[in-house]
Amino acid sequence: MDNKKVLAISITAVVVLVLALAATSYAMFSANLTGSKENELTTGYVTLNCTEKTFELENTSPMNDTEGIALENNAAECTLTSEMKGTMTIGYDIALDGVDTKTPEDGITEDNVKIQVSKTITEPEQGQLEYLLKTNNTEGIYVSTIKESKGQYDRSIDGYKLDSDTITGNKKIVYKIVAWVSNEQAENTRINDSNIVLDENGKCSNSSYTDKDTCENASEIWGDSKKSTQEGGTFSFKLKIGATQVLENN
Amino acid sequence: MSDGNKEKKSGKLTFIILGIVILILAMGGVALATYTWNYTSKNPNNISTGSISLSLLESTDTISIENALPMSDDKGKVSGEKFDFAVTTEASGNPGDIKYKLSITEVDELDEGYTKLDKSNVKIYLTVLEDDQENGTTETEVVAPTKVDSIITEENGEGTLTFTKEEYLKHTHNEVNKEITTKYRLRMWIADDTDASNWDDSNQKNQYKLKIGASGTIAPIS
Repeated sequence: MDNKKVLAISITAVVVLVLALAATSYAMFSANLTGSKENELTTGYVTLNCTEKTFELENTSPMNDTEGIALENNAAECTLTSEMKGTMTIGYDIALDGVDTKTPEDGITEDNVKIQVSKTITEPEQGQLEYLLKTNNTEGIYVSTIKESKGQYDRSIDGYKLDSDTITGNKKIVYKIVAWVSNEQAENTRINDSNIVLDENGKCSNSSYTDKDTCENASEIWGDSKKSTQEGGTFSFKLKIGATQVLENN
Repeated sequence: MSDGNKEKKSGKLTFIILGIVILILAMGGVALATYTWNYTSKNPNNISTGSISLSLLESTDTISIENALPMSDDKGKVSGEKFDFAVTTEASGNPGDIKYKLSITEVDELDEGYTKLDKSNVKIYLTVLEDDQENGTTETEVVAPTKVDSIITEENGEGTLTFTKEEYLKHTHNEVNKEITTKYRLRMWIADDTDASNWDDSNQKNQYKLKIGASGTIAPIS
């Protein structure tokens, strides 16, 4: 083969590759336009955003699911907004992040904090509220039960996944996570159980009296006291979303 | 062809092949450069609780009736065997309502020589003791005279008391470091519909014992 032939084949191969490259790039962000007077080709764009509401609930107490769901100032929200021009499918995972990393050793952990998770599509049309995981309008689940739930689209999400879904076009989806400290374990512990220690021998129901006679003369009760204490603590979490384009051949 | 020309031609070919490989890699790179987006909250969501405790103060460990005779509710409410106890809640914060429950537990260990009465023969009555400056201590009924067998229905010998005035089962802590106490009086007697005709045998001594239990949303969370 002479030099010219080699060069010609090489140039042809390069041109083919360049064309293929251009075609592939176009396929990433495609826009299908029809019926215009002029033939145009416009690259698409996509924007995702989470507008978040966080909460700070102090001095709460353990409660049942009904009370926890009805409580105020205990709901985190993320309004996930997508704006797209062109045809594209985005797969995303939403998860809890940084779960109880601040004070992991205190009395409040993922084993006694419950959540109720829901999502509602609000645009382009108002949709129905949908409860996620195994929660419903009266029941939540312990945070610890989703500890091993991994992301489908974002492999860096290695636990606490709340939802995986795909999104196309312009949409608004409101995710709501209601959280409370559950009293279910406490309900199983009674003050007269053998694991409850004697607090004080000889005590008055009114602590201002310190001996039996003055206590009983004041119509108070004198006896032995058993005490059960729950130490306080803080539980915290953030939200994390990982999104990626879903290719048609995936 | 001279060796020099051969080397030049080989160099060109290598250069061209390298260029094609780079283009293929570039194309592959573009194909993989799909849209990705990651978001993490700037601020955390926080729930915190203060330290909360529940205490049960009892005048005695158990309440028992021995060799008693049946009596009417009216008489039992006044002169039945009595047992005073108090429930106290403390909170380092101001968590609002702390709820608790009261229960009774049958005690199987009797004093020596006694025979256990059946729980269907025993009635209890629970009142709240409140201080009144004019009348001294007043009693407010929270559990009407009730046979024990309708409270303890489970095999574990324990039953929760159903209050007619549930507001007493809730201590509202709106001040930091507040201690709230509710005092109770439990009375117990033999129900007047008990057949005591065969109790004439002086060798048989009857006894029934109960323990009080309190549980709340504030017991230790494991």
